[in-house]
Amino acid sequence: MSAEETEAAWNRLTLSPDQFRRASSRYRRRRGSAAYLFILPYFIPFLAFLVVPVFWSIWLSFNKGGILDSPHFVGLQNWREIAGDTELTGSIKNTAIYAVEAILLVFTLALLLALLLNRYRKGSNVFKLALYVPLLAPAVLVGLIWQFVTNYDFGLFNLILTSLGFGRVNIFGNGTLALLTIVFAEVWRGLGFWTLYFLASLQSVPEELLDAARVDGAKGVQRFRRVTIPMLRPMLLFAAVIAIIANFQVFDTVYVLTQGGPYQSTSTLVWFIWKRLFQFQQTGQGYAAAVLLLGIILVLTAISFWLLGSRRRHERAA
Amino acid sequence: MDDLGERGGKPLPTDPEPAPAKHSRREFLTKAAGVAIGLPAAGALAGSAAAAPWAGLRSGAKPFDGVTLQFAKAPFGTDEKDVIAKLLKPFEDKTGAKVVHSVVPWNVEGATYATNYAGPNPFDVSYQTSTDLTGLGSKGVLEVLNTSKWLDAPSFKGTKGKFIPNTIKKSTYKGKLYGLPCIIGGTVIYYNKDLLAKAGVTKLPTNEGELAAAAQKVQKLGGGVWGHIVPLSNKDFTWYFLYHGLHNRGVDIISKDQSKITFSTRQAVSALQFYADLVNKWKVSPPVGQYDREAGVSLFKAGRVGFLHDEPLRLAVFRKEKLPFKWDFMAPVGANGKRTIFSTTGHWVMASKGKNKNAAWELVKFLSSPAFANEFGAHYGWAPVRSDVNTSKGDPMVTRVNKYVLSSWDGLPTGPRMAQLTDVYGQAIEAAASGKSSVQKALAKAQKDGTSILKS
Repeated sequence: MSAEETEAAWNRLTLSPDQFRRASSRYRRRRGSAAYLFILPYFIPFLAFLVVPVFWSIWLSFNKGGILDSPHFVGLQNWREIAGDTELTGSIKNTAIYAVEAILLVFTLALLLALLLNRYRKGSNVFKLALYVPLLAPAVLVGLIWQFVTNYDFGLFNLILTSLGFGRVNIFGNGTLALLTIVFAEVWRGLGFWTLYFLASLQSVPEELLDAARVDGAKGVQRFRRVTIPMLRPMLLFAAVIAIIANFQVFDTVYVLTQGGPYQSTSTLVWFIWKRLFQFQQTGQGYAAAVLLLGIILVLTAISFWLLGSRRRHERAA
Repeated sequence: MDDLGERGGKPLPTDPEPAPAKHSRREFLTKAAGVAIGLPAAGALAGSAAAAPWAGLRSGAKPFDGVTLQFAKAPFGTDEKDVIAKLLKPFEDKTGAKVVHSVVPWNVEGATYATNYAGPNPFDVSYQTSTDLTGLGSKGVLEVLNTSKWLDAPSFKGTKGKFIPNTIKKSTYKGKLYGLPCIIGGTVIYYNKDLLAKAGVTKLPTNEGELAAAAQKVQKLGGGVWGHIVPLSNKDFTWYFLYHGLHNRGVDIISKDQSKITFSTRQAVSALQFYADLVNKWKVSPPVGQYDREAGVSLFKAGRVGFLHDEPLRLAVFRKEKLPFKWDFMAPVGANGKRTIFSTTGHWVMASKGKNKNAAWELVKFLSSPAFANEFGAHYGWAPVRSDVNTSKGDPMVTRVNKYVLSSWDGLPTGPRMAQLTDVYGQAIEAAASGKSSVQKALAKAQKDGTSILKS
């Protein structure tokens, strides 16, 4: 076979640059479409039940009506109305106080319990189960349990106080105590989840690092501060993001235990939204407050991620 | 008369089988035929298309055979579904319509109705109180009933005349009535006769001053006894129990034309001051939050309360439980020379988007009629809104409740913002009664909030 014939045969077998471009794009499309098909079962509900409602809510926050009657555009009126509503400002304040207290308390307790369970593993499954059970309890049951704990006459808390020689406390007559009760109820409920989360995180800390610190003479607290906590930092920040999102949406315990009282001291953002949307048919105000909540959560999440990123940047620079 | 409710004219018998003579097929068909002839005639006057389904009735046919009506109500008791099923059976038998009853829990009532009425297949008939009635109605989801097609139809004129005028008037907003009043509740003060005797209270109080004095005497007994208990938390709808104090002083929370909020009038301050004083000054009522409404009732049942302000529906419970002391009840005390009883009004409403409005209207009429309302009202202790309905069944206690209510009832004016305004009033009561702020300050805040709500 001559060189020309070989060249011609080779050309017949290979693709021209144009043909290659078309073929490769066909291949990518085929591969891409298969991937899109795989994500479709998730993407359609995500679009239908999250993206569309979010944009629809944003649109309705500039309208009056929208659920029972057709919406009509009112510009910023809903936003002006909620901005002047003292119940909303109170609800934001209560939600922030609640979230800070609940997150700090549950993280501290969960981390302590996780450390104990990590150290004493014998029989720990029973404790894990016991800690996790409250999470499975419905909100109504949690409410009932906490009503028994806080009851003025025969509640556990007041029984302890009286047995110690103190007077009884009217928990639901005091705004601060009522909010603290919500905090305790939610901490009690979430403790099992966060304990298991931190336990899993603790078990991912390399033993060699702890051993090296031990060899270097680091004591228990020093090892915890200098090795465990830095290693847990990404997990802690992620946990903080999840906890912020969850705690800013607290509703069911408020609904069951206090319904926002006394004098709105346990009124939270979602409680405010629920009342505007479903009790008062002030849908525009309800949507505006819902969009505000979304904004707050997005900002807090962004700050958390920025903190996470800045730490990584700092580590890389070092 | 085409009013199905007046077929019997007497209360339903208590046995499960309705007496055939009272609800005979023949009688029903006579009425149905009357309707078939009568309604087109009325329709000619009113431009009504309502007669069409009736006009085609064959002899022996049930007018709404195959029609399913969706009916929803927040329950007055755990047995309500059974009670209603029993009472609706004659209606289903005679009309052929099947009534599907959905129990809507009180705590999700607003959300349930909002989502249901937003959808394409709303409840054909539901129960709404005057707090929510016009809020929903003004959104266009409820049928306006005071039209020539329904309430003002010539065929309904006789029945309409039997309604206590004040109930229809109170439920009408800007000329529109979105629901047919069916019950009024009222509140009463239960008292523990033994405690009162022990405390030396010989005369029942009739006004606020006398109540405070009597409650103080009971309070002095000590031993965990309270002189007076009334719900004072917003979550227990405290405004409902204190509202009569406003009416006794000739005021309301909103002006008659509903253009102005009137929370902070001198009379409104005086009305709330009395209840704040019961807690903070005379200390005869427990502090806000110490006992919720149910706990207050439990304390009364345990013999630890002199006067308990609650609803008449506790009557049946107290009697059933045979409380271990002598007790009775009286009308809420008066002030300013007036002694009114307050309650919201319950209404039967029809969905404006309902697909079977004629059948729904028949159901509304039946629910309003003595055939249903006598037994239903008697079972839960509600007072009737029609002169031909008697909910007492000869029971002297219920007769007395009805007498109190019917002689001095003054209800909540309905309006699109009443649910929110009563919530604001509840918050003011809670703040003042807990001592968190003075009565004047609490009501001034309510006035400001209420005015913003009215403008929104």
